[in-house]
Amino acid sequence: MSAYEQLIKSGNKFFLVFEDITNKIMTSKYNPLYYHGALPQFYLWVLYLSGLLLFAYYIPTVDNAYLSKGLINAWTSVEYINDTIPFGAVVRGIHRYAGDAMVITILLHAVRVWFTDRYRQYRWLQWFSGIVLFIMVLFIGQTGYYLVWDERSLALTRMTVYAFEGVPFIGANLKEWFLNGDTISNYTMSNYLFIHIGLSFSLLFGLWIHYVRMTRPVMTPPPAINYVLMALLLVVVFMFPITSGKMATLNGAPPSGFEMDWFFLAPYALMNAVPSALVYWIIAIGITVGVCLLPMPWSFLIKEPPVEAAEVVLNKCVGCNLCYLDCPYQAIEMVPAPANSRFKLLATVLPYRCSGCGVCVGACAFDAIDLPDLPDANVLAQVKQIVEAK
Amino acid sequence: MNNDAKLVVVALIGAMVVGVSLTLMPWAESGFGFDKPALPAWSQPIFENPPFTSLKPLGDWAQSSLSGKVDKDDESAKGVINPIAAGNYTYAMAMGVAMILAALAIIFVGKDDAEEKLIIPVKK
Repeated sequence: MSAYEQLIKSGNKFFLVFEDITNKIMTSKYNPLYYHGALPQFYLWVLYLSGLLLFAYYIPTVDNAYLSKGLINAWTSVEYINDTIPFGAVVRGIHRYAGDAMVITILLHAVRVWFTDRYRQYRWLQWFSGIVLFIMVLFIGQTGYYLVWDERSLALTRMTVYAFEGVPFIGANLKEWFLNGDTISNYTMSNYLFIHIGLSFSLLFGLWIHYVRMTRPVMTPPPAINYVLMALLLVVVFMFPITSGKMATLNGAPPSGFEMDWFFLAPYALMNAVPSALVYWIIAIGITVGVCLLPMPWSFLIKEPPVEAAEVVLNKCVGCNLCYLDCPYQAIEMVPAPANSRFKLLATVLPYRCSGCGVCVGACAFDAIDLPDLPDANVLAQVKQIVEAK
Repeated sequence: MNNDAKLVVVALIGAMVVGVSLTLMPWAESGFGFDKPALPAWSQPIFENPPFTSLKPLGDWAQSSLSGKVDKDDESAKGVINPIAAGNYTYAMAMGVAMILAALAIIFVGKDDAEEKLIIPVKK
């Protein structure tokens, strides 16, 4: 057994023990480990709603030339939300910490999926789309930090411009796209707001791709878990109130440092640690591609046994749809039955999607679908043997 | 208790939760500080009752506790949190605690349904 396989096995064992403990405390019905994919999505809805409330009062400008006359820019509008709007500070805190919570729950989801070996073969699309979604979430969160327009926002903007300029051939274009012009201006803030909101709604399209090959994805945790997730947010909001730094001034001295949020701003720490922007991109892209390739068995030189796709027994299939409805991977399609058939439809298996899990075999009431190396009768005999042995 | 009686109890508890929330909100708006002129006129008699006046230390504690967590460099807050903001934060945390209690209640009630049963299907 390779070191990699050993790691996966240990991880899986850890989760089984952890599951057992949480089941004893919360029962399986309310065990958050069984809803790990739905947890980040709950926080996504919280972010949409709290973001909508903040958007009502947020003004995306950097222009502070008339600040003495009370003209509002992005920073003062955030302060207005924080200090004047009823529950504005709480909503801002919820928005900020829901973002952090989303990153934490996405990472937990990914680690659990990885260690329970549910990311390979027929699940490659979910893994790949999940990584793209995670990168989108990180970038959306970073643009959220720019929108506050305090000294940290300015420093992050300058670091991002430095990183974009370091991209060979298209660096200048990326910089111009990011700043929405040659320099930081009101148009830059409009661009940030557009990216922050536009990309957030693009997540829904990404989620559709994430779910498209799953028949019944669990998208909503039970109410009790929703209450706990929301309650945790509110308690954290109280424990660690959100405040802005000093307002960004374009011609002022740059800040010597800023408070780090490792969930979103870790790439900037990497950028700060490496000698050039090119090295940063090579490392960042290398990590992303490496994680994307995890599902490919050849990336770790593991020989995987071929999946034994289910087979339909043509003369027994009545076209009842049961296997089609139950298949978790949408590996069964109903096609028109041949002209000489008594029935209208016939089930067919798409072998490249089939995981050989046997759910369709259990669903079929007519013994019309089987796994070639694992006949239905043998499975039932084995289950009976196990139950009787207990 | 039959189902109809349970429904009545649930409805009463629901109404009570909404009532307490609505009463707490204007109090939170005043920063739990009993700044009477800042309170809506209809709510003033309510806040003169001992159950509410005895909770004033909570508002004072929240303000001093939160002020310690505010960045000293924050130009707007000057290191001291606004009493009204402290009230808002405390109200939100109270809601959080209430949600945890609600979750525990739901888990307690729903525990019976969570037992898994193994049924081996028999095919014809």
